[in-house]
Amino acid sequence: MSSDVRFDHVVEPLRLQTDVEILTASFAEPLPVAGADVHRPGMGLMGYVDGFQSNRLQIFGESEIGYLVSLDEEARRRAIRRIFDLHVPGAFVAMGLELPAGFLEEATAYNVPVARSSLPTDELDYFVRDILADLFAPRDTLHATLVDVYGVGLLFTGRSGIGKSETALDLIERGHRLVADDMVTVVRRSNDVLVGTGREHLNHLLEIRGVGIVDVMPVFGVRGIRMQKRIEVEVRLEDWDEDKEYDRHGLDREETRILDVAIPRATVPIYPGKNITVITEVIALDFMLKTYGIDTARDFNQKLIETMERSGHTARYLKHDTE
Amino acid sequence: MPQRTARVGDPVGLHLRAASRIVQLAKQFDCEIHIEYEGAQANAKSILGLASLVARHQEPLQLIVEGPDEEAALDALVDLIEVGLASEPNKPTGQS
Repeated sequence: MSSDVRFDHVVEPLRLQTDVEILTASFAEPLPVAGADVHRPGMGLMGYVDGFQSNRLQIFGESEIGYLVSLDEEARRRAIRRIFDLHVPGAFVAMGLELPAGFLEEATAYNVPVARSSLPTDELDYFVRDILADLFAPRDTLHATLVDVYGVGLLFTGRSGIGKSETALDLIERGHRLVADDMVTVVRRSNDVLVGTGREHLNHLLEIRGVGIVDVMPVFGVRGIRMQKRIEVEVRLEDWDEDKEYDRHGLDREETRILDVAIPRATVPIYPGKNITVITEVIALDFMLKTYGIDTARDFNQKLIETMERSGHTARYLKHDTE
Repeated sequence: MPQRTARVGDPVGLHLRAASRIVQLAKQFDCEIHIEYEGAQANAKSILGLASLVARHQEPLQLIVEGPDEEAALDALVDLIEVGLASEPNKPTGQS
């Protein structure tokens, strides 16, 4: 898989978290980073390059730099060339380590950008991996509205004009928080977690028919907004269809797949006079109850079945109980 | 008001799924449909109403109908309660 992730894309967010010093002058665009993994080049420097993950970002820690320092300059340059020759997309140096003579010249010659941070090697490793995981995470943009309702991320879907924004407005007014309206960017994290955010320049604007554009923050205050939220339930708003049978008992859970992650879906039919806001609040609360193991439909049905079994025994007993 | 008796075909009794199937069918008719069991009368178009009857397997349900398509409703509902519920007791309902 060829990616368009480059060294710079990792350095930029890393700067927000720690000190980063670029040691190589800007030059031709570095090679793309091939994966979310990072690599420690120690073995490669010593001469063993089988399985060397050259297309990953390389992290130089104390042992790598210490080894290079221990060599005379000629041997050192040979060791560095051996790995940079394998087309490395970039290198990080941890602990603010001083680079031995020849390192940067070789890096420049091989078009390998180098950055240094004062972080300990394991922490730098962690931050770089975290940034890469985000850059390589599968993502998608959905035509939907995302609201945090009692801490549950409800993703409203449905045709244009069905009332997603109006429902969001109503929910904000009741103390819930808008993440994004109309366009939601979804990123998959750690395989089964979906995180939704708004478009950068569209943040927290609502388009309400009859009013126009409403900015939630100045109107409702900071408590009415949220920057990102895990998406937990899809609430599908639909025009009321007389011929369709909507879920009435809740024993069978409908599911939807977003970026290959299954989440529950609740389909809510819309008709005039129906209070969608309260229904969606209940959807959120019911999801929380199910998370805590309380499934009302299932539990009620279970109790009902047990009662029917028991009442059979009781009826037979009472029939012959002539006291 | 035509009436007829149907015995619960479902081996478990009138549980939530069975009740839901009755409601789904009953809603297709315009007539009023009530189901009476042990002195309690429930609307056949209400799941919780039917579940509250707690009717066991083979217990007699009294179906009472009133309206334009009452005879058709009786035929269809008796068939569902006695035959349909017995043959596919756990058929999922709701989402198609």
